[in-house]
Amino acid sequence: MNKDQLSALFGRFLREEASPHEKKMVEAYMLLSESEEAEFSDREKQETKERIWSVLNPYSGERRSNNVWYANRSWWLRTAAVWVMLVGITAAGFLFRYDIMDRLFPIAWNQDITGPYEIKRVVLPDGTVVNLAPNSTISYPARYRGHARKARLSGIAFFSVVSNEKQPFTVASGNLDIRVLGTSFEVRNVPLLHDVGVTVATGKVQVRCGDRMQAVLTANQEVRYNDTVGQFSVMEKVDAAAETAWTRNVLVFRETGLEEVLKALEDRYGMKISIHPNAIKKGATFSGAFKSHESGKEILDVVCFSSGLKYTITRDNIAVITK
Amino acid sequence: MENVLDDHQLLDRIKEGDAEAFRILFERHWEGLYAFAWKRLKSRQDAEDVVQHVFMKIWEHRSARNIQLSIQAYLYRSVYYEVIAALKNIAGGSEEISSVTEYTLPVFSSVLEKLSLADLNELINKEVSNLPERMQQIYKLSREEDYSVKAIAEELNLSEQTVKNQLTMALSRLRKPVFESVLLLLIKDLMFP
Repeated sequence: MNKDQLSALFGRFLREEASPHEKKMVEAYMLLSESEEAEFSDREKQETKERIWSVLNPYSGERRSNNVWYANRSWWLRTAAVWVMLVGITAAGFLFRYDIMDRLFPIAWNQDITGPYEIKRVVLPDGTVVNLAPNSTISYPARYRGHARKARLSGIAFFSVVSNEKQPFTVASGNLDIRVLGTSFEVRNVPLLHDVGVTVATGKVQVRCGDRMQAVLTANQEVRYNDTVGQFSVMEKVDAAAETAWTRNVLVFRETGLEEVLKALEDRYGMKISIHPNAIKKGATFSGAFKSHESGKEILDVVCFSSGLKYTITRDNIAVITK
Repeated sequence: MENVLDDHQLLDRIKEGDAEAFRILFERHWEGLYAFAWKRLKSRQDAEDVVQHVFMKIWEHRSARNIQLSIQAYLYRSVYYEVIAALKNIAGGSEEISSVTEYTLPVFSSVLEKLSLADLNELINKEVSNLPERMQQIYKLSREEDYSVKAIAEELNLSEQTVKNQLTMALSRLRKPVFESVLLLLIKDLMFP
């Protein structure tokens, strides 16, 4: 749109010839600009009032006709007015247009959380795949808009970021900001350990802490940041493939109590499992990792077989565990 | 007279050519109207012109003027259209306005032009949702169902005068009457049924 078109738009609005969309644009502009700050000092107010009134006052001889007011205006005043108006709209509108839109139409953030044994595959709105380790939380907008793709992580996750140079992908985790254009990497941020680590599998990743510290990592490099010490340490030649092997699993148990294992299966696969009293020996545990192609029933088979248990499926689809 | 007479009584006196009543009406409303215009025009000179123009018309057409609803709503409605007319004139001016125009104008577009009609509706509805329920109802009937004041009155089983009174009352109860006046302006027909 240029200024002539803008002028034409206002003209159509006044002649009631504007399209519904154009009408709404003007109405929205008139509404939005109400929130502009307009503070005038008492002196300014007094002067302004007097200037306006001097022309209006029915008793003063100075009154001129409408046409004269407009003709009297020096061209540079008008120019300045346009300039000021445009700069005003620019400042509020152009530079911060996505912020304005975020304020007007905020995008909801989604959250995915993993249980203590569970590994989840989360697909972000841009197609970026996140493998979320147990006890981790990732938050991200329901859709991406503007210049940035953002996500927040607490815990451990492996990111395979879809490449988009115009829209860098940023993960905020602990004190670190991890910024990438398209690559894959792992972030480990376990709050209790005061230690955040980033391991890069492919591509290039920029890791920042505040404004001062930053590191640029390439494949098989790892950076660790210790919260308490406040220091970066970069490690070379990490076996990223081995470090991130966990991402192919969906459930991982390490000497986990059997009841907990069964509970995790219920949560993950929506199964209903009922345990016959005394079926499970006190202190019985299970260790093992399951991959994503295995079904809940297959995993239950393995857990029961290795623990010397049996199960039957009732008509209501409940798996009853017995000795 | 300053505190005693309400706007309608002032207007009656203005009709009879009472310049003092005109001054009081001006004193009462000029500031809000000026701020309203300034926020949209970002120009002292243009905002002053707009306010002048609105009051000028009141004085010049005093004998013919017959205002049914709140004078405040009437004044804001007038300023609303004067502001749009001023924007039209400024943007359509023949002055060479340098690269600023070419660079900054896409902005009006980038914020508003790119929003879909649905987004714009959402934006406006969000503001409307802050209004009292009855006013919202009237707004929606007027705006979305294209009802006239008469039809709204029939639909809600109210007299036309009640519809108008409800609006005026709602208006005076609102925290930021000026802002809501703008919304009221979006309602067709209500000021000049």
